[in-house]
Amino acid sequence: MEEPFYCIICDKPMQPKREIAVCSFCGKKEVSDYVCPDGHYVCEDCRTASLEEIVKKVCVATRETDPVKIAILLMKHPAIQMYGPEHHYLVSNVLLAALRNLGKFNIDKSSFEEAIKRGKRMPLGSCGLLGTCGAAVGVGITISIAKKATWTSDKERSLAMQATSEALCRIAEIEGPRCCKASTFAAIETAAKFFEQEFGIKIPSLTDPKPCYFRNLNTECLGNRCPYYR
Amino acid sequence: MPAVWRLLKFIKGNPKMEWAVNEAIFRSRRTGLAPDTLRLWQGSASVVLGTPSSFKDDVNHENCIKNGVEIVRANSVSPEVFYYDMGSLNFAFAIDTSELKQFIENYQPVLSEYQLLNECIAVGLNKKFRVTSKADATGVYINNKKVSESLQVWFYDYLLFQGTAHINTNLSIYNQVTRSKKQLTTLKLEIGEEIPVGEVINALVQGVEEKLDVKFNEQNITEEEQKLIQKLYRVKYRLDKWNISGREPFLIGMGKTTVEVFVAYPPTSKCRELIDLVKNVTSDLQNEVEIRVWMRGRGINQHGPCPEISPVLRYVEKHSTLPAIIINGELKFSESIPSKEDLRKAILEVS
Repeated sequence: MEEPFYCIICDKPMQPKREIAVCSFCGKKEVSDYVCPDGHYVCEDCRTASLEEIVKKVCVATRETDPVKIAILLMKHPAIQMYGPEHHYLVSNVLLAALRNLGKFNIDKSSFEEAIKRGKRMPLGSCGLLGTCGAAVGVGITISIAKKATWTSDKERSLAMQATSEALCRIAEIEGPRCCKASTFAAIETAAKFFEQEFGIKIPSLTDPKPCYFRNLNTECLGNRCPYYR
Repeated sequence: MPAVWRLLKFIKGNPKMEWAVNEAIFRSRRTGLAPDTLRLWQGSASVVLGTPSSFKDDVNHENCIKNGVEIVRANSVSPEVFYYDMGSLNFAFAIDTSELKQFIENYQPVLSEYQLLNECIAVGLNKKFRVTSKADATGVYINNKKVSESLQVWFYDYLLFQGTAHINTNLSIYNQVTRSKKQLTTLKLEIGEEIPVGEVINALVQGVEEKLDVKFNEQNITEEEQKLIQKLYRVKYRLDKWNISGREPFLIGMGKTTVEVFVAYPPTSKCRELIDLVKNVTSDLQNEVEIRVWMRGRGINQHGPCPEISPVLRYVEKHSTLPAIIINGELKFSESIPSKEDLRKAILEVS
């Protein structure tokens, strides 16, 4: 007998099922092939999507207001590996999606594309090599896009840099070696505090990433040294 | 009780074929078809480049032609280049290194294994020829000049340690055909007389027996190895693509043609169609073709521990190129379903 396929969202064995199902990533409806007992289904387009495609598709489509929830869903997608520079633009995209869904700022489809374009400028290993983590820069990118900051702006420019700097401090406190999942969580949590403090925007019921879903998949997990381990 | 190793004195005569022999015995060892093996052989004048070495920067091609010296490339993790001729004794250890650790003090990964094998050579030379050679991880030295050098390649705990001992090697040719600035010597120069290579063979065998507590059983190569040598020669060692450019086909185990199919998880309808097509097209080629279906995001141990993965598979995973078909390490079809005829042709071309 062939090994069953396991749901990439909840790990439960999937059942062959031909019915109209809703994609748990992008919300598209199509005739399913495998669905898990909890009703998770991944459409064919999302299964073959590239990194950028899946981040953009999910963030454009989601109605979720909790950026941690969106980030965890995205990080379970097979295109997104344990480590990698995709986390750099993932952070800004999930934050922009949450802000849009809370009705804050003027965020549209082009905002996500712009966030990916900017986030991609942060190379792999930038944390150790450049002294700045792309996930922290993702928080700065979010503020910059939301507040339409440029290098000639006044307060907006400062806010973007301040947000990056606060996220960077938080990530640096976790110590190393790097964990892109922990950095993502730390960046999002810092951003949430920053939004409340600076703009009075409260993200309702921000998911606690503990215990980290990825801890058993990460061969270099920091274990008890990580604030998200358990 | 001493371990029993296989001793091979097998010689093919064609320099390019000789290096195919080394790879074949290594593959045979790592797939469990052969015991730990020491091969000792002589071959006609050749320059050997390691996998990362540069034909352009490390070899004097004109002088190779002028002196009738062949250029061959050997699998290696280091960018070493060396020369050998009929005055040299070549060696290849194809072994499971997990057994070696008991002989090593202050173990340093990789370096300790190299040093230990070089010490086997040094012990043999010192005992038989009353020289004072010294070994470290980089080679064997007499009076601070290199007398034995090697190239190494690993497959998990398995090591292919292949090199040459300069017995009566013509070093003036060595310096003409390579751009090496190594300080070299030969046993002949150190002792002041020509040494029969047969005596060195015995010395090396004794050195290994003494140092590693092994007994040798002289044998010939197996039928499977013989077949693999022919295939490796045909698809790799006779080609400039490998010897000059350093590009090699990806083959798993004993050299079956490898068809890697990279698909989504769970496979989409297109992915399933592609998997069925590959199985269908290769149904009569099961002895020659190995199919590996890799599902995105499921990790490297989908086919058990110690996986063999082509570099292109990593590329297609990183670039989300799926579904894709990779044949012997070359991306042949991606994102579309090839015709039955095109797929069959692509597989047979490299088999």
